[in-house]
Amino acid sequence: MRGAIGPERASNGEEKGATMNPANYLRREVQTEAPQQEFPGFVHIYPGSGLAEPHDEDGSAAHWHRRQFLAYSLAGTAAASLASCRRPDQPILPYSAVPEDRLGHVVHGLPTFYATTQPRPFGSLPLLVESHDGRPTKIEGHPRHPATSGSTDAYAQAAILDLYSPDRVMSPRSCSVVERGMLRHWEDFDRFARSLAERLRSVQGQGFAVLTEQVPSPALRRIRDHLRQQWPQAQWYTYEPIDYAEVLRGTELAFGQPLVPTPDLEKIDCLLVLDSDCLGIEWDSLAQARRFARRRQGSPHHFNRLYVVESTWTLTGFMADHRLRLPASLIGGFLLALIRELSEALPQKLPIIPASLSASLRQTLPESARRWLGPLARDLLKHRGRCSVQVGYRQPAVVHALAHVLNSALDAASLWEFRPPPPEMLEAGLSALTEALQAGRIDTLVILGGNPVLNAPADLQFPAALRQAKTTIRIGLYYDQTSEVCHWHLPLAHFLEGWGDTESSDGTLCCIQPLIEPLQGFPTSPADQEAPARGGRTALEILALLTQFPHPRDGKPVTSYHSARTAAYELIRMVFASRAGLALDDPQLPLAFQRYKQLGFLPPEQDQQRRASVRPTLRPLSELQRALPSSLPAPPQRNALEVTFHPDYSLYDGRYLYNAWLQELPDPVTKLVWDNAALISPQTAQDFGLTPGDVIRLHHDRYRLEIPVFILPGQADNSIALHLGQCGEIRIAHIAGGGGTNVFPFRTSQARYILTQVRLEKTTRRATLVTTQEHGVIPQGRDIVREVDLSKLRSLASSAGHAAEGEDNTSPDHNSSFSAHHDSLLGLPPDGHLSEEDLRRGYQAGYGQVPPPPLPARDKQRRFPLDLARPERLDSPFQWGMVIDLSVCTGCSACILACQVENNIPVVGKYEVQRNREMHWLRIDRYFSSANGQVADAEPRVITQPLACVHCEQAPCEQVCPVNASVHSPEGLNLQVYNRCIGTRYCANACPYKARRFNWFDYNKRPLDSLRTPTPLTPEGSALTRPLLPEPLRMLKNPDVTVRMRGVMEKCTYCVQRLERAKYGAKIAATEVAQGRRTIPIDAHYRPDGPPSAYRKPQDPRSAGYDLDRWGRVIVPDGLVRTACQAVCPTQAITFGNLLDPQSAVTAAKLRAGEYALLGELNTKPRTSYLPRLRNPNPELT
Amino acid sequence: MPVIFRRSRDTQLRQGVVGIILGLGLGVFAWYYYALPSYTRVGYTPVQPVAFSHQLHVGQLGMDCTYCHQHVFHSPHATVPSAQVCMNCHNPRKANVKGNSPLLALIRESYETGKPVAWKRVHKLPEYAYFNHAVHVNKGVSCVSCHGLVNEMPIVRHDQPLSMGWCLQCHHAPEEHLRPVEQVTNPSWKPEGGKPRLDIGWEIKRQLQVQAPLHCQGCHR
Repeated sequence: MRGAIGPERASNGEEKGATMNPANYLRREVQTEAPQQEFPGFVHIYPGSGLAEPHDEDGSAAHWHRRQFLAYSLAGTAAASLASCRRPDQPILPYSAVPEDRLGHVVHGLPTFYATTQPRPFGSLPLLVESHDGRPTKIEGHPRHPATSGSTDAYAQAAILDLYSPDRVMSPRSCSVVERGMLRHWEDFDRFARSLAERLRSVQGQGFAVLTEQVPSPALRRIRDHLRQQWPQAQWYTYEPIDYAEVLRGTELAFGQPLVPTPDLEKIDCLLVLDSDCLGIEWDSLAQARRFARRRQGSPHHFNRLYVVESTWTLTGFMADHRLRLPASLIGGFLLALIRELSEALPQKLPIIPASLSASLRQTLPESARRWLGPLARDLLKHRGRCSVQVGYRQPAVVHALAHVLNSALDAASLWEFRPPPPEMLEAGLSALTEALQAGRIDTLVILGGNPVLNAPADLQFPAALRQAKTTIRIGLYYDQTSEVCHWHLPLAHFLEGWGDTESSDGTLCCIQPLIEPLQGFPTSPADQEAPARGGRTALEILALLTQFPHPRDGKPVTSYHSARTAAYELIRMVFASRAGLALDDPQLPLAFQRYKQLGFLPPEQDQQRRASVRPTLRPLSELQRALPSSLPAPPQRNALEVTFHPDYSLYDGRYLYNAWLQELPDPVTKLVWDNAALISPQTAQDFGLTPGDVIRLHHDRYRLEIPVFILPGQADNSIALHLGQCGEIRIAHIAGGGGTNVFPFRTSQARYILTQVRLEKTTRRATLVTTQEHGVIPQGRDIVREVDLSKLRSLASSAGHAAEGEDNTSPDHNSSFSAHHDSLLGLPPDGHLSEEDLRRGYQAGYGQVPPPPLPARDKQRRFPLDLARPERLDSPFQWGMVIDLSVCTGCSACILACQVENNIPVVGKYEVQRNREMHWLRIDRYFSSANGQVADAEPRVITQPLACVHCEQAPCEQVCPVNASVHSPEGLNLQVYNRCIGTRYCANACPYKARRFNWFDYNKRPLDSLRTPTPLTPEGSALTRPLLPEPLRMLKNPDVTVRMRGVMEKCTYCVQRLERAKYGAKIAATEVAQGRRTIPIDAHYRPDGPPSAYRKPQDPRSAGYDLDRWGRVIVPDGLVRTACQAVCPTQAITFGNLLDPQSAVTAAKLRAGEYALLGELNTKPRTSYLPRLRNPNPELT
Repeated sequence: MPVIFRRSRDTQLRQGVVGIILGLGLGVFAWYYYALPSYTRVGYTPVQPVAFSHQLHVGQLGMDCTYCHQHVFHSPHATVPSAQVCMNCHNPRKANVKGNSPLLALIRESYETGKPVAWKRVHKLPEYAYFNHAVHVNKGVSCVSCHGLVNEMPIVRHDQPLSMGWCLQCHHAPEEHLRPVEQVTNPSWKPEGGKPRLDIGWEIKRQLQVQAPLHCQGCHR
């Protein structure tokens, strides 16, 4: 019957067709199933039975109509399939046996830190590398090393991308042994090396030569010594495109021996810098910058004064109190003029300037330079004994010698340290090698590192000379221009992949230890299974094999890779033992060596063979007198321009060419990305009728160069600056487009840094230069960067009633009369600085004030986190804040890269940057000062301002998000919840600082050349089912930070992953102590306000890892958690910490006079504030 | 006026509207019943490659959770133990507790070859949720609260939904789920002295200052 439900009954009421006897149904068939969720009515459905027999309560079978059976079974199947609507099975893979070096202390999920060193010419950089599960993910500075005290620069931060670069690891050629264009195996090279060694032994090494970089390496020196001893006819050359040969010749001229001079900037009150980027990217610049910054922070009473004379902008020029732009060829003349000015006050100590030279100086130097001489000379004399003149490596040797003489005349010789140079700097150079090659004296040449085919001076014609050798072996990271010319290419292991040793700039012996086995070359396609043949070896291993170095253990010559590998390690141990003064069988050696590896360096006081500093004596003045030129060259003019060559701030000399992060890093001076340009001054551009982007042709002798032009206020007139490193259009991994102009063909060995008599010709072509300077511009007329003269600061501080620097500013009964001016929240004074009163009233979390008591334990939390009408209660014991000191920010951009590495920020490529879509969370804005606000002055000053999300307490972005993805945490952070964001971009619109970045495409997942292909039709397959980012780049990502996908907004998070890790660490440490699982010294006098808890206050919070605040709550001690940008800054411009801690550095910084909030008048109440750029000008010069 | 709609359309309209409303209601109910983790995750009992029984090892033999899961008090992730831990007892050459059993073939193979045993993962949070295991365990949240009575499971099953709402229930009122830290790994702990469980929870909350985060920063970064 239609619609009947229930057992079909016969008209007489009996059940019809009841064939099943419930007793025949064994209920235990149901019970053997694992207990499932009970669904009423479906309990008896089990798969495969075919029959469903629901039983009523009394056990009688209900006879089901077929239609109902189908309906029920269908519903049941649907329910059962819904029950299988869960994620597919996933494996979880443990170790099979935990490796020995991890047992007991390496924990999955927590990173491990290893000390190593980045080898660099002239002085390596000590590092601490963070490693997750055996993969290095972040490079930090080594906080205990005497040379750098924990800073790194942009090159070190980006070095980790070189490790994982797909161009290196996934390219068959870069990561394999290549012989004459064909892929080979290491065994083929080993065989060749053995036969080569046999042949060379018979001829005493005749015809064998090695060309290396100038990276100091004691172990490599041992191999070199062995080579010289075993094969006396063999030669060893070193070459760097940027070297300090003129510096050494200058000291040789002045003192009679080549020495490396280093000033102690912390002791110098008045510094004159001539064409030197000593605070930027030159030798030892990290240590210099930090020492310099110590004299610019804190009390204004010991502020130093910096004069800079240079031809183009450098980071040192950014920091100058007075800057003179002068063509580089005239800087020597400037120093001579200064000496002439000082010769009356310092008789017999300075060389006499002959009259002809004097006259030539008067004619050559421009008015602006002559105006400087008097005040500068007087200032130097006033600071006699505490002043210094420093000359850069570009200037010829005689200028250096003159500076040394002047320094000693000004009684400043004690402020300088002179050290003998590392032997690598004294070897024969590339011109000697080229000459030997052309004479046919070299059969076999080994090129270790560097890229001489690209960056050799053009007049040497090195590639042609290279072809004269019978066999050339190139050992390098990438298959680059030099590899293409050489017969063999051997992949070099990255410094994070192998053992080695080196020296830092102060001569300390540093250890290079590997963090990962050499990456074997991931198969580029599933069919490519050739992986085992690839993978790099270290220089020590290769050279030990090539030269058949005697194995340190048994003295037998090394003939196989295995023995070469152990020999290299033992060699490092041997070098350490001799430097530490321990015999090889000394029982203390194993422990000492272990400590050396763990610490990463040998402390200088234990080093027996360190290059100690010397106190040289000046040679007689008459010698220097003879070296003076008779007249100066003519100044650069319109038809005889000057060209200067500079290392690039991103690529240095081209060694980081394939590093996408560095290519995309905006140049600190020009903000150019993926490009380089010729920098000219506005006046010169006007003379030639040039606009930015015009391509010019430079002529000198028989050399030509076509390069686009960039107009830079502050560039010297008639002087053009060229940046080395780029080499034309390149394609890095999957990033198309980008690449600048190769300027090496324009560089000759006679004029490697300063070239005169250059003609400029305008072409009709134009090039696209992409800069980020115009991105995120805060409209003109607002108070963005502040410069304060020191004298005015002192009066400002005293009139405001604030304590001048150096006095205690944080005592609670500090009576501020300044607060009388601030009586309303909204009507903030123009400087935006708040008194303590305002801080208590205005901000929910006052700086340094008494923290609010925590909620009593019995109270339920009645707060509704999503209540938009009620702002988030800032009741956490942590209130994070940050202060950026513009006085010491040099603009080096290391912070931008540190943020990029730490937070998995993708690279977008040149054309996306052109569309304002760069993804850097932190940007550095460069401002030129000007009097009229339109165009920069003729002699502009520069302030750089790092800007990221400032975490406003009343954030405009939080108020406009339609889905509440932008929220405020009780700790004061402005959070971005990626999984809630739907991509309206309203928050970026609302942000007045333009600090938010939007993922327009799947930058993190897709190759950048197929961003616009609709998913899933990318060439490599569906982007939905498998990640298309090359596997090595996936290894690089920080596992603690989300990798954002398309359509999601992101911004600075105050490194929330580090904050959380620090809080977990503190809580776990405190609980361990409370539970007795760990014993530490306890502060017995501590009594918390409020009810006591289980926690004990440690005597030394920093070593215990936690501290207790006055309420007894567990907090992180100040300085233990540092954001990525803060940790990496060479000058410590960024201070970050807990504002509720009255002793924290950030609280002290916030209460310093002059501190202001960016755009504070908008009442956003940002947590990141700035300290103004303080200047110490010479009153006579302004 | 001509008749546009025939009479039956009235009924059909009424029935249609009621039907749509009922359908939507059914859909909403079906979603909130079937599509949430409380349905899709609870009861998930994947068959593991090696038939390891917690009921035997923990319930019967009395092994402590942290004997095998060694890093739960330190690591953000609670991991499964390596084959080396199993071999502490089951190594046929050493302790030889049923060392040659065919059920342990995969463990022996893993220990010898270094290939990991491919266990099926039972508890997994989505990747945008950053959960720190160690801090929970150190603050008095026991294994049982989230993983259920593992000592009674022959095969590990997903006992609790582990959804955000479920986590927030405890974060709003942690005192309902806290116990002394020493008892965290004890599956059969009962409050001693007949004290109410809630009182003990309040006590632990005060002593250890348990401040379970309720804001997004706690778990989402």
